[in-house]
Amino acid sequence: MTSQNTDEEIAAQVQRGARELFGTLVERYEQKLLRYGRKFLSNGEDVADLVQTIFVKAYTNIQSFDPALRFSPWIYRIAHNAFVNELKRTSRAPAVSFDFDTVFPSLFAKETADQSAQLRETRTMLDASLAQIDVKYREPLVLHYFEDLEYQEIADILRIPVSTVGVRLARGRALLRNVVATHHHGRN
Amino acid sequence: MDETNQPLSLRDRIEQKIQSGEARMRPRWHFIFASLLVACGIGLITLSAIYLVSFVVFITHATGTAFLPQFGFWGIGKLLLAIPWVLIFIALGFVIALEVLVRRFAFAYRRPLLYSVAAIVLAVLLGSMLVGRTALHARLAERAWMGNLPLAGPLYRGFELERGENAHTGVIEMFIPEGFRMEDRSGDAVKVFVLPETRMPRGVLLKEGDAVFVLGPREQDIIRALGVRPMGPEKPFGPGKRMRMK
Repeated sequence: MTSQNTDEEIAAQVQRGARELFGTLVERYEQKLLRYGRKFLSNGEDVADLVQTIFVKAYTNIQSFDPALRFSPWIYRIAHNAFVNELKRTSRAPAVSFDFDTVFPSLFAKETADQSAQLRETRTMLDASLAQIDVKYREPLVLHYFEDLEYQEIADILRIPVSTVGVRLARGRALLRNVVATHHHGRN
Repeated sequence: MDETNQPLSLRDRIEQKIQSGEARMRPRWHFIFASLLVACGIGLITLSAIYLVSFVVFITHATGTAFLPQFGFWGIGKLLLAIPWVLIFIALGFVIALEVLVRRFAFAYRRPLLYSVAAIVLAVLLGSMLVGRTALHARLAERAWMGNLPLAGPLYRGFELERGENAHTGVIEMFIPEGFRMEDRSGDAVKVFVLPETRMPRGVLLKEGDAVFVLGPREQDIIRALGVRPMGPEKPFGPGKRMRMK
């Protein structure tokens, strides 16, 4: 029964008191959040423990979720906060600083389906060079290319304008190409 | 670990925490209350910002500061010195606080910061214009001068101070050979000497009862006017009998 239900329907049932159904949401998002955490943090932090904390927080705050909206950006938002806090704890540099890209409107082009070759290329580059990319660009790249989230969903998770998501993805891809090219030159 | 010494799955661990009460669901009212607090904060800060901006506009008009630019660069320089910058910076602080609160909502964070800041500034300015069309500040100022405004009284009385040297406002009582006599904001009678170099308003005939802004050095009860401007429908506020609202 629950396997056919959407995340939002299950979350609504949990809100109404069906606590045992929360396990289904844990099962559905465990691997996704582990992957997101490993790629975002990429410093060997104990992501499994963090993901457990994220699910406990999600359960604690499930009544704040609006079932009319999508569940995945909501839980990814909790995960984002947990990972950013972990970054702050483990490194001295601020994980997120003020970004002028969020101030002004900017033009960006969304990727389309016929750019799947670019998608594959970016995923391969990301896997190879993720740790060398600034967190600011790394996170939207991971959310878009590995978690398959839309621009607006990423905007909801990071709480930044949709146009800034586009700008960060474009810059992130350019940075990735630079990193890969430098690496390639170094080897030759 | 379970009975067969197999490590528990994450699902099992979370379910255990829920069943044992280690993980507890916060009630819905907790979030409703938090949202109400934010909404009240937004409302309260917006009203405070509107009040403050409209007060600054009122004070610059009532003390005649707003007329200074009509006297050229010298007047603009004096205006910059006379503007209540502290209040303006407090109002800016309110705008920043509003932006921080509003940024929690999708309609704000999904768009560039510039848009939400512009919307907030516009809302505060529009609100201030609406308040400016009412007699709110004039009534409060009058109550302040009568000593019937316990909290905001000092604010109104404090900003009645000389906003810029040589800037005076008052109401014309009668015309005299040297110029005219006016009642200033303190209710004192002052003689205004209109000299050949005094810049008088063009195309406007001043008459008794007009509220005027006078620029010029004051010695006791005589002002040697460098310039005179009518204040229009606005009146200077103060304890003077001609400045009281009817």
